[in-house]
Amino acid sequence: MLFLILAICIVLVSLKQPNFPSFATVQSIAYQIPEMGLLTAAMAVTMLVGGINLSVIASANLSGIVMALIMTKNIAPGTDNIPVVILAVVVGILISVAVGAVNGLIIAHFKIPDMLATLGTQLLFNGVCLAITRGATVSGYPDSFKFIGNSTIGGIPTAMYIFALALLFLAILLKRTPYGSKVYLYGSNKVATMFSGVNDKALIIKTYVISGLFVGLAAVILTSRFNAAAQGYASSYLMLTILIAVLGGVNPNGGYGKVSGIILGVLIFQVVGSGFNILRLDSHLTTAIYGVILLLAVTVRMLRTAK
Amino acid sequence: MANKGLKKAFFSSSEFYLLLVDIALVLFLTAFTGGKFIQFTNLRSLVVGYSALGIIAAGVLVVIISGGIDISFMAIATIAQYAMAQYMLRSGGNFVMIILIAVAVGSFLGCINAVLVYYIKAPTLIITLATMSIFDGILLWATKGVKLFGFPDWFATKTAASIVLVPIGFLVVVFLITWYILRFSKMGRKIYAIGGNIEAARRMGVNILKVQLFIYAYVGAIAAIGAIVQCYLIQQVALNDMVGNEMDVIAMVVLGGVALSGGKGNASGTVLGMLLVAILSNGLTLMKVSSYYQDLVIGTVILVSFCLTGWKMQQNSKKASMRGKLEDEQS
Repeated sequence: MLFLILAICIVLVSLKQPNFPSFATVQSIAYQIPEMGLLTAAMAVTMLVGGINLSVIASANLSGIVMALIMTKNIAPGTDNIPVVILAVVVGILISVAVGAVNGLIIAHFKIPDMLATLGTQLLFNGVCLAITRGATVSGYPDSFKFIGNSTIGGIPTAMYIFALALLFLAILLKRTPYGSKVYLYGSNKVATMFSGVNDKALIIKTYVISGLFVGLAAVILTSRFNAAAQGYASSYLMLTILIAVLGGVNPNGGYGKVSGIILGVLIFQVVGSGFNILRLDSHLTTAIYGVILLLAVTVRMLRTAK
Repeated sequence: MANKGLKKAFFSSSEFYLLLVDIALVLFLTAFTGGKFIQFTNLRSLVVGYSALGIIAAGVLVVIISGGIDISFMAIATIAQYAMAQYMLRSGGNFVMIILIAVAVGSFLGCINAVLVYYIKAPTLIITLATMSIFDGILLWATKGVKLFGFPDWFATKTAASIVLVPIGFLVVVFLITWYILRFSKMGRKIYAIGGNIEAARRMGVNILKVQLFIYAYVGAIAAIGAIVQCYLIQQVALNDMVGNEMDVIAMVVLGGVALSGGKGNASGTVLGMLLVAILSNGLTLMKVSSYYQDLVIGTVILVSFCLTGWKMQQNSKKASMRGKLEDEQS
């Protein structure tokens, strides 16, 4: 089904722009897929347990800003220092993991709906970003960091390898481990899962930590590709990650969704997005159309679940 | 006896704690600023500044009680604002007409939300997120982001009295209406019923579609009224004046002790929640806290109070189940 939609989209776009399926376009799409895909994965895992993570973008920005500060404070412009870059990347990812843990703890222990808890942490961490940067943009990174988001290895963007490995990890986690089966079980019936002796608190915290890990990876790629970090970056991505997750077949009420669906969702989204670009569609109208697509995707999703 | 029970209920209610926090904050700020906080001009700017958001909070309260959420209300408010401002610029207009136009636009867009929520049966957050982007995107595309100003004299003239009476008047009226609907009307009972358990409400014969149409249209209409007040105070209509403040409004409502999973909450709590946010942000400015730290402080307060509300609800449900009343709050 999703393959079919993807094929139709590619054909439609190619009709308008005959050289669309060229190496250059494929490569430019391939640069954008990892960040979007990782953020979508971060959103999707929480949707699998029937939750939602509205703090993904705020958390990615916080990670980006801290990474940027570590690098700009310790590495003189024009020089390079790989240990510091590695330290920055590790700290950046750990921050998003920590934000995920905070989300999970709040949701699991205070029994606050995921939406409100993550809306609250989004507000809080946006505040932290603003307090750290005082609204300024932090930029100017060493080449070794820029390499992550702006280079290719064997013709394929470096970030694509990170994306592939991360999603392989997620697929194994969901398909082959007890944790994975618990996620689907909990997502489809919370009460039954609780009565079957699953530690639901630990499950929720783990899920939000994994979500945080994916946010952290996305933050590394985003910061490297933008070559800048600031509060409020990429805020339009929040709706898009939910859109792609639902497009990829994730049930927003929990219990259903596959990694392959997420990948196809991102591909469809990128092809449609380039199509809108080729048509020179007004960017605001594009936002409205994405809203319509989200409604359609969610309707189809709900109809299929009802059957 | 009954009186005693009522008193006890009041002292253990979240409104009571919120009232204490509000009073403590006022006393602290008055002492800290050497009486500046309690001066009439400051209090006036505090209430006037937060009146538009406070009005809209009354509408959002109703959706959250029904167990849903609406995040498209600021987009709706902005569209209503454009509609009534265009009308005023073209034909002068009068007070009744602009209210009618804004409310009509607001409730119509709210009805679209309600129909989608009823038929799609997906989380209301996702549906209103989608409609928010649709409303916002179309408005931006259609208006190209133009600011509207230079309204007719009857709307643009502000006197010392009207600048206080108009926002506060609307605020009081909107809250009284909301309070009346939730407390005394049949529709109010149905809204609580849906929020408590939508399936049970359906089986009791509640027409869910009708109630949801009312709820989302009400939010839209109230958001439109908030938009009029906002427009009156700043005398211009711009795209970014209201959009982006959704979280502030939701926070006011949740601070007011609304049960986060729906089915509980009332108008007086929301008033206190609104005052808390207003006092806090006004106080931070008076204390000369840099605006870069204000979001951090307010975010912390909101998150902590979310946690306290959640913790208290768990305590209550534990108590209830110990008494043998097996209430399942979560499902």
